Amino acid sequence: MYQNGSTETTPFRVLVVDDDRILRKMHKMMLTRLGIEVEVAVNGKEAVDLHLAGASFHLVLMDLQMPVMDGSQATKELRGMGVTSPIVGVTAACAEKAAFLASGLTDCVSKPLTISKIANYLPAPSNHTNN
Amino acid sequence: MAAEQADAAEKDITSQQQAEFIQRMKDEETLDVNFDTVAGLRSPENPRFLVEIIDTFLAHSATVVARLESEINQPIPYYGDAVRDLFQLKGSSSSMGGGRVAAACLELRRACDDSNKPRCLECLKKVKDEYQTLRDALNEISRMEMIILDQNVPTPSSSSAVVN
Repeated sequence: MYQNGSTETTPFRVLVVDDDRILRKMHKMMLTRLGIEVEVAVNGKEAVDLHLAGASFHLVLMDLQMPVMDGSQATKELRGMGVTSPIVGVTAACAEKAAFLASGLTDCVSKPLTISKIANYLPAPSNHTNN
Repeated sequence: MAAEQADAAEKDITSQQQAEFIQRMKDEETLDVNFDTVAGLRSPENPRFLVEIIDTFLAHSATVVARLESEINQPIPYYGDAVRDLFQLKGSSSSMGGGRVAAACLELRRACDDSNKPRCLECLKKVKDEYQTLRDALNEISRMEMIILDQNVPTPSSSSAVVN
């Protein structure tokens, strides 16, 4: 479990947004092993709909190239809705990184995703047995 | 007792063989260090994770490669659709440790951006060749993994895998 600074230990929740099922599976496993609660969305619209339904997350990992609604549009909509959680873009599309960042991302990292690339957005674990 | 010892030795050899095979694939640059991240996601709670992720990747990527072939081989290639598929294949291949597939996808993407069909066909062949090499390597790793799992041999610990 991750400590959120209060006396109560609450799960740290991450939303993984990616249309690639392999990457969703891998990223979910990376985070779940650290005791992080993970929800997935297969495109930007699903991510927006989750937030419209009242879901909130400590961190959103957003792919860029997705059908229905891409990461840029989804990020703009989430910021427009008042979502202030860190949204970190995860993309293989290096050429579009600047435009992606301009949509309201907190940061943008290149695929493949590793824990070290997003460590700054994850709280320190309450125990030190995680890798 | 002798049979048990021989059986135990066989289990050890199989685990060692898998590690040696993976290293050989890295030496040949068929796999890169990112594969260690995938392998490191195995755990006692999810012992079959590596087999599952390889199977999922190979099933999905085969479809994407077939689509790419169709898109590029049109009288006028569907460059836009091909670029979309290349993003997917590049991303998932890279995450599985298939850096050479990812690099080949980048070259094909550039050819698509230039609407250069002859170059696209050349690069498509490279993508397919690199993908086939990666596919064969991952299939062998998966086969070894299933043998190890069936024998209930502890898989290489995550501490032995590089976690970036």
